[in-house]
Amino acid sequence: MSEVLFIFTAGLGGVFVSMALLYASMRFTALILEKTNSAKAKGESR
Amino acid sequence: MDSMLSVFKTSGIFSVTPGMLIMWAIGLTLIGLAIKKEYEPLLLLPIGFGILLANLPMTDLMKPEEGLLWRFYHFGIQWEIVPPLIFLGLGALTDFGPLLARPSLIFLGAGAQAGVYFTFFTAWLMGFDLKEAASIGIIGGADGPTTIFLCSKLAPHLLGSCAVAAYSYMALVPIIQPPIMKMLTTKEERMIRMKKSRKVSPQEKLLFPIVSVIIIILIVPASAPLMAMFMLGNLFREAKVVERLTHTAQNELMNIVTIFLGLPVGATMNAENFLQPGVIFIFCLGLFAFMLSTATGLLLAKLMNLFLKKENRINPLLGAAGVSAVPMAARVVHKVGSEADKKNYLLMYAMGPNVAGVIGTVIAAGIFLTLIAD
Repeated sequence: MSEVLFIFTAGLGGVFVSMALLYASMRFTALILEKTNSAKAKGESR
Repeated sequence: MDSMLSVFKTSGIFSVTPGMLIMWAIGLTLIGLAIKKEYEPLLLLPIGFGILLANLPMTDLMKPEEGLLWRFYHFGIQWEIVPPLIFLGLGALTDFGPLLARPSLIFLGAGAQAGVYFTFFTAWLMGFDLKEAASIGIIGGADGPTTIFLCSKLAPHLLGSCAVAAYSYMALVPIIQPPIMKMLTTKEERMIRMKKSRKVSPQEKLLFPIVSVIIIILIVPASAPLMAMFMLGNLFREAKVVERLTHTAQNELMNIVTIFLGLPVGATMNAENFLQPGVIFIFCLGLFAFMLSTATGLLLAKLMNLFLKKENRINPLLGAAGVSAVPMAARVVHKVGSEADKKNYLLMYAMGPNVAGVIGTVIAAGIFLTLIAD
């Protein structure tokens, strides 16, 4: 029983943790690209 | 006369068993459903024909080391070649734009995996061992190639039943999901209009497969065969410099491997394997898993709404698209949403959790492999 409960908890928890990391990576990538692009645009306007 | 009789005796006619006849009927039913009703025809047609072939006596098509279909099965599926190649094609067909536009929708793809784990637990309680329970639970992810990938590693004797259950329920998404969606949401909730998505830059789309493959494989290395090919296919698509490879992955390669996926899967379903009382439980549990995944996705969307500002609320129907049946589940979300409000266009938003569901199911399968496989 304890093994099944461990797989259940670790499995579901693992899926959510993985998705949370993907979520963070998507937000982070978008932020970096936004900053880079705006810096580039400022440089070009000068 | 004697020679005529001996030829007759060496034919397979006298070796047909009642079990084989039942399997012929099952194979023909699947072929009929594929042709007449167009239920997942690309898979159910070769699976149905594979069942028919595997249950013709004295053919030895599935005889280990010798049979033609056994070779397809052994080198295609047991060697992990075909399901990852299908994922290459899926990756090349997938647009992650809707997900990148609203990243929080990725959690709906995770929420739908709760059905997988609850069913795993239920199947174990019903007497299936851990490997069998995991193979049955993954049906809830509504992802055929992942189900085949996991079953072939954990419970090959259940491969045929689990694959047929997965593809049958995927075909029945428009029938299974709407009643659950309507039962768990109010009309007001179904009418929620999503906030307009932001524009996603091509660089974001390009970086996503690279970043996500690193993250996922670092966390769940066992998911690597499917995830690596999925993201490679997507990189082909987003790089926009390998049009020929993208086109091949989306079309010719995908079509070829689909043949070599369906036929041997069907051929694993011989009468001795399939006509067992346990198979009925597998189909019931598979349906339970699929319904539960739909429900948990919806409920998670409702839970998320409790913490979101009014203008950022999610239409809870989107949670039902967290199962991976792409793009059928997203289409059903759009249809049920438009029944409540004709001008509510949910299809593009629903594609976000839909593709997240594919990733979620692969991660769930990888975790099962890590924790259960010897």
